[in-house]
Amino acid sequence: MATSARPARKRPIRIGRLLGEAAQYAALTIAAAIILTPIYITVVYSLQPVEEIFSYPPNLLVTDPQWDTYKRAFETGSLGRYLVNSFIVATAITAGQVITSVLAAYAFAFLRFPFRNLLFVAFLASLMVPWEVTIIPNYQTISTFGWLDSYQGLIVPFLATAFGTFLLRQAFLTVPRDLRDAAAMDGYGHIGFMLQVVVPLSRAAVGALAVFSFLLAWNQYLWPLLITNDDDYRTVQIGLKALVSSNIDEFNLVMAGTVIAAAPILALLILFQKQLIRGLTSGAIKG
Amino acid sequence: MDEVTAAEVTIALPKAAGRWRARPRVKEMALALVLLGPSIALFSTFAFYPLVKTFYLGFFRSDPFGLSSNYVGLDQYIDVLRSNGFHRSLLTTGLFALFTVPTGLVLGLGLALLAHQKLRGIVVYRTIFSSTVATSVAVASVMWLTLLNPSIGIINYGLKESGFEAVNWLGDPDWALPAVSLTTVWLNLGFTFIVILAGLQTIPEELHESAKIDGAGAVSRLFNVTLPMLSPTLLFAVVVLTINAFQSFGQIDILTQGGPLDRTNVLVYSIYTEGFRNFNEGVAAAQGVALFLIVLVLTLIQFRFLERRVFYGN
Amino acid sequence: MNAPRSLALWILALATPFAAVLAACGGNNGGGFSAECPIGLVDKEAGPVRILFWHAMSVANRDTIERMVGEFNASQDRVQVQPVFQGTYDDNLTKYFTALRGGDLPDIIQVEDTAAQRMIDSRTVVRAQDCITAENYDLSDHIERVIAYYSINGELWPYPFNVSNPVLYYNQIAFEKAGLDPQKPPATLDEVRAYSQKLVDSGAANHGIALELGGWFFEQWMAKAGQPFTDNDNGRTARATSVLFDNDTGRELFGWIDSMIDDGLAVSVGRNASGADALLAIGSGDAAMTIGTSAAMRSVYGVLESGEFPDVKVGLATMPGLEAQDAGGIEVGGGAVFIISRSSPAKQEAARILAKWLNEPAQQAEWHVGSGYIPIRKSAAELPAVTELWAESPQFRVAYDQLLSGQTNVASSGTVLGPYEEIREAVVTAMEQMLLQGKDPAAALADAAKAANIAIEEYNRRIR
Repeated sequence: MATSARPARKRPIRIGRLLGEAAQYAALTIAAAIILTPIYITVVYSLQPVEEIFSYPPNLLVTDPQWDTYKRAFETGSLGRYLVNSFIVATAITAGQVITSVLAAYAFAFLRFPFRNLLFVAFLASLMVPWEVTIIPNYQTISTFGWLDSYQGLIVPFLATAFGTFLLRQAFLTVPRDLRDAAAMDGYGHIGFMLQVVVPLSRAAVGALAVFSFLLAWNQYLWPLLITNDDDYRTVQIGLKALVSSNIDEFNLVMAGTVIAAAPILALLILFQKQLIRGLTSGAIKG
Repeated sequence: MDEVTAAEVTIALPKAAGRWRARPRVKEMALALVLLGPSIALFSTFAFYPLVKTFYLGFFRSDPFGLSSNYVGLDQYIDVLRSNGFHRSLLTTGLFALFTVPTGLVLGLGLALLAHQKLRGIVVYRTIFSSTVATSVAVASVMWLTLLNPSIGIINYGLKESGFEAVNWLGDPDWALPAVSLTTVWLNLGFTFIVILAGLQTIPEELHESAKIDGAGAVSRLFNVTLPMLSPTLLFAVVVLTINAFQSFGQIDILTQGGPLDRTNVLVYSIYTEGFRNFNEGVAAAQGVALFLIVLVLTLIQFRFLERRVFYGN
Repeated sequence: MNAPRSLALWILALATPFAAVLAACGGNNGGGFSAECPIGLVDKEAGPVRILFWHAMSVANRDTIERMVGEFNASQDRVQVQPVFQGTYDDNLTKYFTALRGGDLPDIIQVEDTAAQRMIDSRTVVRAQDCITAENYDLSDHIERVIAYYSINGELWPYPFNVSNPVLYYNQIAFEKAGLDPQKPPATLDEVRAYSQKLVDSGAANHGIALELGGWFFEQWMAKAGQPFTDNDNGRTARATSVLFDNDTGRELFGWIDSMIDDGLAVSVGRNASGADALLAIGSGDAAMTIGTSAAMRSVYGVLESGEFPDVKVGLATMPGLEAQDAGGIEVGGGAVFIISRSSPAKQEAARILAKWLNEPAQQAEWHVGSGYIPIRKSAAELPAVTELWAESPQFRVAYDQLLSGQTNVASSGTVLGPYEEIREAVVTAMEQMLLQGKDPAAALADAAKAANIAIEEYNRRIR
């Protein structure tokens, strides 16, 4: 169509694209710098000697890294054991939430049953119950079950999430009708369709859910504090709190603890990033 | 290409549709029950039972230690709903949502669009943009406390160097809520980015291609292809961000404790103060139930108005 | 663990009804307790009695307290203590009150000074006085001010443990630059104003003093001025029903704060979100003085004199009040330990053994040196650990001497109050309105009193 006009515009297009790319990189880098600032400062402060943190004008470079701070943070906050506990609990909760959300979202997206919309609203409603309302009754429930100071107490209340159901329902609803019908023709039952078509197609959303579930569990503070006394079950945020003090000469410890607590998450993020990138290929519709 | 496939399917459809319809509805309902069962059981025990219990507690005035309580019927609910404090915290919460939800959504969308390019090294940028998720609310608040510190924070330092006056971000009644909102937007940015990016990944490339072939420019493609296809995700993001805004507590607890002059005393913080400082179960219960109903209504409204515009691609 | 059935226990059990009647007559600040004191039960146990100790000390202080508990455990085998860190004072209390509703309780718990009345009202704590009387425990070596703070109707409820009070931190170098004698810090608020004027005029600092908006300092000024904060003798002869700070002294204090800020002689650091904003103001030259807790002493010296701040040399002085001579005195801050009454009598006794051990001069000396909290035993001041510290760093004496100076009377005993946090919030809000909205100091104070009284009334009504 426009082929005849193309050769004449080759060079301007190339420069145009280069400039466009440069502009994109510039925008990306500026955005990244702004977003990274709080984290950068935390890392810097975790390595500076504590009096340098309070100097004015603020010193944003690390000239004399105090690696010892990390050692102290690890020991003082019992972070080693707590990291393991957090990992166990977070993984279990993530698995649970992904499974229950896939099942529930499938039902809402592909099945027809009475009161479906009402039930979905009820699910959403569970997200709106303020946590202060639930925490003491749940504490009593867990206590009645005898689950204080246990992994079950830390895990079970969080095995389902309307957040995940909602996220996946939205993703599942974008699966083309043709695909559903084609699958039915090919003899796929619901379960087969769910596991072999829907979930792989919604990989990105499922991956996102896994990331969020893990984070939710990892970042919990008050619930683990309330239901555990035993160091064998305590989690990483409690360890972080143990590093917070109003003594200004201990400020770098909480910075170091923060980095320690965030590091596993960042590592997992990088891992999952690959999952999130590998999106759809357009062959899906024809497949 | 799609037309051909669709035609094939259309021809085959009556048979398939017959196949679907041949499954008894009961079987579908039973399956639904099985699939939804675990979630329902867990929500009932850990979300709705407490809610009902709390609703019931709202009818009693109790002492702080759970030793005694007496029935006052609806009086406590009415008192709470009528109180100036309740209205003020509702206003503050609304303002807070207004500051954080649209901003967070637009910024998240912008970042996702920026990072959705096939550029070299884009993985690094994507990781950076999602990194705020790695911080818990407490951790992020501590980070921002440092940044916003009137004496040594770099924000004020930057302002002073640029010739402006330093602001006591967390101590100034006019700036406290914006400052807390900024922290919240930053906190949620990673989440919004990941969700919208995941949504962008599901938009088939061909749609963009065919639009380009039809001569659509980047902006037109954004509004006619990307956003409509993204709408289910955007709906999700708006709803979740709003619910989140109404439940935001941690950052306020660390940064401003509801002050100064109650300017950051959102409803959920007030509930915390009543429930966990004063252990005033009855009042906290009444406020909690009120908050729940407000968010529920708000979400239903969002669904009603926004889901109409959501294009699920079918 | 069941208490052994011994003769002693039966006698105590029989004595209970009488004790209960006696206790009930002891004022309405938490009566209704049986006053038996478990004695000799721990020795009767076959193995050690294990108790749970919930505390709120973090980082260095936590290291110190848990090391000390370890020493206690190692030094004898009748009582073994498991210390558990429970977050901040607030987290610890939240967890305790939540656990009251159906969870595991500790046997002994460290609680913030302001939570005393609430703990008593929960009716789950043992009144220390019962055993003090039964065992003839000698309190004469304890600092009177400390005992007074934690006593109601002359009866001690918790065992005191970690005590702190506010002191004046100032920059000696800035003083010199302003032509002030660094060895003569201001002793009254008028002097603070005069010194601030000189500091600002000479350019030694941007402001004279950095002020945190906190209820604590206000209470201390009232206490030093000999003014009770609430009625019924600061809530110690009967439950407090209203605040008394809406008077000339209160107005004078609010007026002082207002005018200092207005005249640019003081800078407000608001609610001090980071906990260190006022001290950081000294570091950055924004101010040359501030009032802060003595518990921060070690860290303040550690940071400000690290060499990073060449223009700062920290001086420490007693907190300046309205008058040079206190009609009252500085009141006690910090925390104390309560023994929980829902524990078995043997565990209560074990907890008491720990509490008394923590109160011993040797331990108070070790605690003082390790944490900076003030030793509550007068004889601790003579122990070598303490005298050495004081010889090397005389600033550590200041807070201790402060507790012994002035009068120990109703005012300096401080108030005991249920809704303490709400009252402090009312005061801080009033200060904010005064400073940020230009409200008249007297009006702001009056409104604070009104809000405070409503809170007290509400609390008292709920307790009935």
